[in-house]
Amino acid sequence: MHTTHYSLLTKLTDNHPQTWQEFSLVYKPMISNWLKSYPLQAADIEDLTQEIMLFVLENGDSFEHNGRIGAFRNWLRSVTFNICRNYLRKTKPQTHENLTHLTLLLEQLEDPQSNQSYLFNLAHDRVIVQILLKNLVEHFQAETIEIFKLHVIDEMSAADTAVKMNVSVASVHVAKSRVLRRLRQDAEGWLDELHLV
Amino acid sequence: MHASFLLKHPSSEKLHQFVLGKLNDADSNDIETHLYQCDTCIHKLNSVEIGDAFTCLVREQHVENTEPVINPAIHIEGYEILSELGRGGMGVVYKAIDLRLKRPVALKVILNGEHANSEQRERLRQEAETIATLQHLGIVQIYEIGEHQGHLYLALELLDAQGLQTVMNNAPHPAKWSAALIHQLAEIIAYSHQNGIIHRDLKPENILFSHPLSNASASIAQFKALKNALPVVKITDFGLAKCLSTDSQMTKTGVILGTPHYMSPEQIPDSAEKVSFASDIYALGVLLYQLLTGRLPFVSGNILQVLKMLRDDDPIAPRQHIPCIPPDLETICLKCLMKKPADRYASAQDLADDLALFLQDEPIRAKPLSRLQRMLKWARHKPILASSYLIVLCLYSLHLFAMLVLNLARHQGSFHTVLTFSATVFLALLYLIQKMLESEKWQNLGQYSFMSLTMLALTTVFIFDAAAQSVPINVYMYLIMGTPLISSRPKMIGFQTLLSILGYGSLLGYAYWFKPDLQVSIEAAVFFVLNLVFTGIITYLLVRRISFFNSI
Repeated sequence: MHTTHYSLLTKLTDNHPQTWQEFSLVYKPMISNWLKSYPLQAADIEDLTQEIMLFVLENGDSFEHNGRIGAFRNWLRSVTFNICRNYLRKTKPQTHENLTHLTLLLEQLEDPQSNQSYLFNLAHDRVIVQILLKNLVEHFQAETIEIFKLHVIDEMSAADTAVKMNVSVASVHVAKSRVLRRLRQDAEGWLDELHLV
Repeated sequence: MHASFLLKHPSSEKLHQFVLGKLNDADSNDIETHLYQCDTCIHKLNSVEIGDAFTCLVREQHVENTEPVINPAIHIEGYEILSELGRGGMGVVYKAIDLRLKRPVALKVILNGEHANSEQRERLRQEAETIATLQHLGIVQIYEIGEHQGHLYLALELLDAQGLQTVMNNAPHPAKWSAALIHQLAEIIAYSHQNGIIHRDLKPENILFSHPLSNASASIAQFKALKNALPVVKITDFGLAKCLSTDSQMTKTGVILGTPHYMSPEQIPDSAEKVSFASDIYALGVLLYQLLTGRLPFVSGNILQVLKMLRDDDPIAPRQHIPCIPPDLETICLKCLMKKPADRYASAQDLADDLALFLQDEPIRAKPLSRLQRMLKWARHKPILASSYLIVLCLYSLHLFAMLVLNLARHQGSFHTVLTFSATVFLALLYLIQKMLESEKWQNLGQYSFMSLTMLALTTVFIFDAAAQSVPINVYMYLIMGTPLISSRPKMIGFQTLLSILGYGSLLGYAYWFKPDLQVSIEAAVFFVLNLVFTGIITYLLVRRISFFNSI
């Protein structure tokens, strides 16, 4: 049922309601969490999130992945930045202090080299990994995923995992290698090179 | 292992790459085969620490994302959980028994339990407060809000009956039955509005029957039940409801993430209108439409298309689907579905009153649209066609006035024939072009044809008017300036400029070869062509500037 991220976006451009639901499910919390770091009222955060999601839905087809790393992420960041800046023009936050703070944060978000952009990218990459992990079910048997979880995520030793799952130690290493290889392959083009090296 | 002596051990570096999943398929397969035969390498691998950035990201993500969904064996003090009724974005609803009062309840528990963020908890609290302010037989009652081991929960009245969704069954329902049902809902919503609360998420799933219905849908007996004073439907899920007195600013919350079908036009995020009581009236209109016709006002598999229709299109009148629907009921339904909140019923009570009048076979207060209103509406939906018709009609009347009243010589004879002919052909072709503009596939071609046709008709008239030098040629400039009204693409402005130059060129050519007595000076001609070019450039720059402002 779950698609890889790449095809999720391709399908998104066809405006299929199901895909849109899947997409919103992962991206909406990310955007709304991101906006929570801004000095905004809860109601504004909701409106802005909604506006950003709708913009992505309406303009998803104009986005073409150019094969460069993080192209979608950069696009999403600039969409977020532009919509927030527009909001700032239309509605003035309650205090001058908030306004200055927000302007400063947005200025940083515009600059791809800034700390804000780094954090935004990280938040985005986490979303991607989330999708990739969900996709594992399509490629691996439940046992393989369980071994991966125990050994890599819960950091149980290879020997203990082997005993628990009743497999050989070699199988544990093989499972780990296969799953990580799959994740890396799927993540290509979407994650920062920093995270892939 | 014996076989391992025959194999070459991979280098430590390669093993490390292998375990991180960085090798290509062939290399990985080789090492996999080797591993099953070589304890030495397995031993080596056991001591490899994987701490690269990618794995860390995966690890951190997964830990963060493990869903602490409430254990099915969850225990909430004072309640015995029987089964799960449903699951939403925020919480799970369980069917449970209140052990103290021995009554069944619906327990709405936040999905993430202890891990729920403060916003979710705040929302659930707000929902509890909202329901608590509404004491009405038509609104699902709240019994208790509580917290047990970090799980915030609401105990709500449990209805052991179907939702409207199952009753609707995508089939048309009897007019009176539908009217009576919406009448009850409008009364309940009117009560909620009187208390300052807008539901904002009225849809069949949120409307429950308070007692089981027979499966044969909408029988006479049920209609009788609906005619009783006591409501047989109850509204639930005030999770998105807004209290006007506490919220200074209305938000256009996440309805779009679910189904946009019951959403009002002003709930689309970029709408200029505010979400208000009228939004609930719109939703009631959709429900009535659906009950009467068995279908939704706007249907498309494509969400964007639905939103676009919601913004721009009028719903097909219910009687076009089902001719036997009473005209009055159609009028009521369409009044609820008006795009502008101000055009709908002023209050839910007004809607309820009008439905009551209908149910008593008395004349209703809502009036169908007058001819003028319908014409204005038509003009708003087909602006190009309407404005072109209007302009042509004005110009033609001017011509008739000049010909018949003022008796101007140049308006008589062949000029009149040509003008009448081009105007008629132009109007007829415009109708075809409007059809093209409406279809997505032919829209581009429609725009080009519209521009070319206008130019052709205009130039024909000008040629016969021998207008190479007279004032009307300024229209060529107006056409360029008007292009962005049809399409804001720069290409179009260029195309229109070119057309204008060609049109003017034909006038000059005609004057040069056939009417030498007009004596158009070269200086004036060059000046006018330059004027056209400049108009094109300035229009382009203006459009670019405006779209720049729009994009930021």
